[in-house]
Formats: sequence, C-alpha cells, structure tokens
Amino acid sequence: MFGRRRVNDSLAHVGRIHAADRDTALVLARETHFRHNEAVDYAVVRSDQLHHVDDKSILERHVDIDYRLQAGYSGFRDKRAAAREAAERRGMTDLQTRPAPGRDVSSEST
Amino acid sequence: MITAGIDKEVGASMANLIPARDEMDDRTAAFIDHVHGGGKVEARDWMPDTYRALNLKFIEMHANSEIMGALPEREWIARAPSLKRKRSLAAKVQDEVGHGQLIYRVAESLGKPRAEMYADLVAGRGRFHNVFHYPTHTWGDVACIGFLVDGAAIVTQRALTDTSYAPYLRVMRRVVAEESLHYRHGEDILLAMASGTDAQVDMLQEAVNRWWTPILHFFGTDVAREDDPSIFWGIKPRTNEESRQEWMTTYIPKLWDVGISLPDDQLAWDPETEVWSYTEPDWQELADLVKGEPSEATATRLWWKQQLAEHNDWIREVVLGDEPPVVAA
Amino acid sequence: MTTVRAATGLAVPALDSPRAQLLLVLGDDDLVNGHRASHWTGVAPAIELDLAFATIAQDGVNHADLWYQLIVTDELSSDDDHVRVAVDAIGLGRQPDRYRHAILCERPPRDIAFSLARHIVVDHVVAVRLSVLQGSSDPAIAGLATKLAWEQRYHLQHADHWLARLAGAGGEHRRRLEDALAVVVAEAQGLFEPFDGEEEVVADGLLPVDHREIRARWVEAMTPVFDGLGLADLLAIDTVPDEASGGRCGRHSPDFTDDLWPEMTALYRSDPGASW
Repeated sequence: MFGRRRVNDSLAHVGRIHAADRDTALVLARETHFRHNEAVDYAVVRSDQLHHVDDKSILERHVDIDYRLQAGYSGFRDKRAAAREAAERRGMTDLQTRPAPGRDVSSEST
Repeated sequence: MITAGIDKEVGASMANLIPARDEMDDRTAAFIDHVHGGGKVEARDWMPDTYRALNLKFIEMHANSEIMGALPEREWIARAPSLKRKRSLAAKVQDEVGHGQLIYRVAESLGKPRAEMYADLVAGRGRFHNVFHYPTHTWGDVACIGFLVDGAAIVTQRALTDTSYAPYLRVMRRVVAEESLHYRHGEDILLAMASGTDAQVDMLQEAVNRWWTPILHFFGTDVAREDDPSIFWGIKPRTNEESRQEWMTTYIPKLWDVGISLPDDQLAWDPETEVWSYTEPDWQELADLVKGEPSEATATRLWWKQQLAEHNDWIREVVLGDEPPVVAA
Repeated sequence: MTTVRAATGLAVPALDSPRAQLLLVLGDDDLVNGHRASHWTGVAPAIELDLAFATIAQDGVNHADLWYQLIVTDELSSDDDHVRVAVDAIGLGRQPDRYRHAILCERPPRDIAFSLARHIVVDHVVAVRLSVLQGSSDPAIAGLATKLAWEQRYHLQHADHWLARLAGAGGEHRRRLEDALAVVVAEAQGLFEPFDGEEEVVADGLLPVDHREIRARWVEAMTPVFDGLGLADLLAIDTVPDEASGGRCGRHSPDFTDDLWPEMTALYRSDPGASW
C-alpha cells in the first residue's frame, strides 16, 4: 500500500494488505492503513510487482561526493567579502539605492 | 530548470482561453472554483480540455528547456578551468537532464508520450525558453547561467510549488531543492571571477552585459493578472512582472555588491513604490527568437541532436523498451 | 614533497619519480575517460543513459583528482589551496607528451556502441588494476584503491548490463556491439603497455604485479563473461595497433593533441595562476 499524506507529498509506502484481488485490497485498505486520517490518496501494487535492487550496497559511497550537494559549497560570507573588497579596489563602490536587506528571497543567504 | 509564462503566444486567442462565467458548463465552473480556492488536480481527475492543453504546453516547454538548457553549459564541462569546476559543472548539468526526466513524466501524465515530445524537440518543433537559444562564449557565460539564469529559474519554479496540478507541484518541490544547490554553484563561480584578475572581471562584466536582456525577456511580457490564462487556470500563481521584480530584488544588489554593473541607465529601485524601473526590452526580439527561425546556436545544437539521434537511436528501444502506458505521476 | 618551479611561478610537483609516473598512469586514464564520457551529457540517446554517462564522467574526473592528490599529499579530500593548485597543475598544466593515458581513452565517443564498448572494456581493466593495487606496499595507494574499487562496482554493473543486453539482443544491436568491441579490445592492449618506471614500482611493491600480469588477470576475469555471450574470440587479441600504441610513454594521437587536450586545458592554461 502506498499513501499520500498531504496533497503536496509523493506516494510513500505505508505497509501491506492481504486481499484476494485489487478491488478487495482497495476497499480494505481504508480501515487497515488510513483510519487515523493518514492520507488524502492511496494506491496499491501487487507485492510480486515490486522489484528490489539485488544488492543495496550499490548505493553506498566510499568517495566524497560533496560537490553534488549543498555541503560542497561553503564559505560564502568570506567569498562575498573578498569580492566586495576587490570591487572597492577597482573603485566600484557606488552604493545605489536598493531594497532593504531582508527582502532576499534566494534560498541561500549565509 | 525553468518556467515562465505562456504570455504572448496565446494573445491572439486569449478570449477563448479565459471564458466568462456564463460561457462555462457547470462542471468547468466547479473546476475553476476548486482551482481558485487553492484546490489541486490529479492526473486521473476530470479536467477541462483547455486546462489539459495549457498545462501540457507549459510543462512540455519546461521539460524541453531542461534538456536544451543542458547544452549551452555542457560545452563547458570539458573546458572548465579546474578539476573541481569540471566535476561540479558536470554534476549540475546532470541534474538539469534529471529534471527533464522528472518533468517529462509529468507532461506524459497529461497525455503526450515522452517519445513524441522528444521527437518534436529533436525535429525543431518543440518550444523551449529563450535563454537557451544563446551561445556561451566564455566562462563568464557559465557564471551568468549558473547565477542569473538559474536564479530566475528558482524564482519562477518556487512559484510553481503552488501550481494547481499536483503531479507538477510535487516534482517542482524536488527540483527547487536541487536548484538551490545550483544557485550556490553559480554564485561560487561568480564570486571567484569577481575576486579575480582584471581579465576575469572583464570577462564576467561582458557576459552580464550579454545576459541582461535575455533575462528580462525570460520572465515574459507584463501581462495583467486577469489577462493571463496561466493564472486563470491555476497553472502559475504569479504574474510575469511579479516574478521579474522579485528576481531583480534578489539578484541586482548581489551584482552591484561585487562591482558588476548592469547595462541599463534607467535601472533603479524606487523605495517609495518598492518597484524596479528599467528600460523595456524589445519584445519582438524575444518573439523572433522563440518562435522564428532558430538562432545560430540553436540550429547548431539541433543539428547535433539530429545527427546523434540518427546514429544512435537504435539503442533507444533497448534502453527504454516499449513506451510505458501513460499513468498518474 | 619535491617541487620544481614552473614558468608561471606556480609550484608544480616533480613528476619524474616512478611513483609519480604510476599515479599519472592511473589518474590520466581516469581523467581522459571522464572527459570523453562527458561528451554525452545532454545528447545521449535516452535521458536515463545520459544520467549514467554523466556519473561515469564525474567519477573519471573525481578519481583522477584523487590519484593526483597522492602525488602531492597523503591527506585525501583536502581542500587546501596549495593542493588544489598542484592538482590542477598536474591535471591541466602538462604538455600533451607528458600525459600517460592509453590512446584508447582519448578516442572521441564516436557512437553509443563504441562508447559502451570502451566503457565495458576499460572499466573491467580498471577494476582488475584496482584489485591489484589494494595490495600496494604504499598505504596511501592501497587505501585509495580500496575506496575506488568499491565505486567501480557501479561502473561494472552498468557495463555488464549493456554488454549482456546488446550481445543478447542479436541482430543489429549485437552486430554494432561486436564491431565496436573488436576495435576497442585491440586498442585496449595499449592499456597494458609498460610505462617509464614500471619495473621500479613493481620491484618496490607499489604496483604488486606488472601490466603483463594485469592483462592476464583481466583475460581470466573476462573469459567467463565473453564465453557466455559467444564473444570469446575477442580475448585472443593480444597486439595493439600501431596507431593506438605509446600512450604510456606520452605518444598521443591527434584525438588528444589537437582535440581533447586543447579543449580541456585551454582556459586553465590562459592563466595558470588564476583562481576560478
């Protein structure tokens, strides 16, 4: 059984159900898995149609892949200060009128 | 990576795309009420044909843009100036292609198989965003795509995490999370160049000058909320101008901070009205670029895609098998 | 660490020691393979295959970086500026005749059959070599080989999947793969040519066995795989065509000297001291 907790969420596995066929499974699922308002939507897949990766250790990484992650980029405060200083050395110091700080909506601000 | 508006394209027939209340059947009126009330729509729900068509067009263009958007940056993976930049750029472009994979799946859920969208794109029939029709001349262009274009993408895509089409919304949540990594990648390159030699700063400034108009274009024309079919049908929540203003607020001061200027002497922030003013770009230039004959860069990239497809498509059936049935995403 | 001062004023590590030559052989194969794999990004015949080749490309550059780091430091994953500068000088600052990769690695991607055939053959050679290097007398080399051998499992899984699928598909698919493998396996013999200093690193146990023995172990590993698919004849190929020979001594084809090398180094060389 797969359930969607809220409309914005993807389907996630919630458990199993024993039933003779698809329609029976869908009928019985409601009170088996979702009786506490756990979901806004649900779906069922026959368990013999679920194919696991043979060896899940293939997902383990033994080499740093930080460059693929946010963690691979850091030190922005210093880097911004260095770029600002470089700009000042070039005489690019005009402070033009701009929105007050705090209006920054980018995800990244540290 | 991206999604702005359908904007002018539908201008001619806009009247049909925003029906008056008394022109709608009851089912459509109820659907509109549902969407306007913040309700979501699933792939298997009933939906009006116009909603399906507009959404498909919008999402297919978004997916195409991810794939075509990989190409301008792809050219710089091997050219990148350090091993660190090579692998970071390769990973970033890989994510864009991965976003294409996710978003095509959403488009498929509206009824058009991926193979057909792919064939349309390779044949030059697929639409994609203006910013991916341009050449990349220098590493400065890589900085601009990474920081400014991706920044614009974050603004528009974040808005789409509130779209009415739930499969799209869910994919956008995942895409936006990855885009904020891309934003860091872009800013990192930008700051390194801005802190670098005079030649590096010049390279960056020249690239910013090249990208200024394309980015203003990217958000689309200033269509009023009540005239924008994408907003009426709940596909996107914000107007083109709202997104453009938000981007300017976020990104222009960051450029000024590092001594990069913008090539528009009318550009100014009015603290009274809290609105940016700027020189209106030539919108005909955008229409010609996106709808006219392909730009030189696009013609070359499509030619390559066609050549590669001709010589390599034999393997597609082994990789993809029979196209899967269109089902809910 | 011994260093020589390059014309740019940058400290470039000395690369003439047998140990450095071994690390260049390992790193350069990865670096050049990675660059060629990256040429599929955005243009592979299916999105899912695009993503796989992009990872192979990143791993190539990333693993090369790690081998080069061992030339300048024993501390891996170091973000020290001086390490980054030295690694880039090694990876991107050499003249073409100082690169030690086999010529097969520098060949353009051609078509997907050639690229997959090269991936299948080279990644198996790399896997055998990594398993040998896990017994290196140099703990840093043995340690890195152990990490990379783990990472290599995905490469082999991917390679073996396509080998079985295409060979098993028969018809045009098999013919294209067979044609590509015939070219690739012949040129792959260049991977087993000795490099300057190989005798010394074998004698010191840095490289526990020489490339002749690595070839024998590769043949042993591939025999059941190729036999099962009716491709056993490929393993009888033991001579490298002249045009694919000499990479280990720095002799490269125009595919490298006129194509890949300028592309991958031009921006770096435009200002080797610059920070990007």
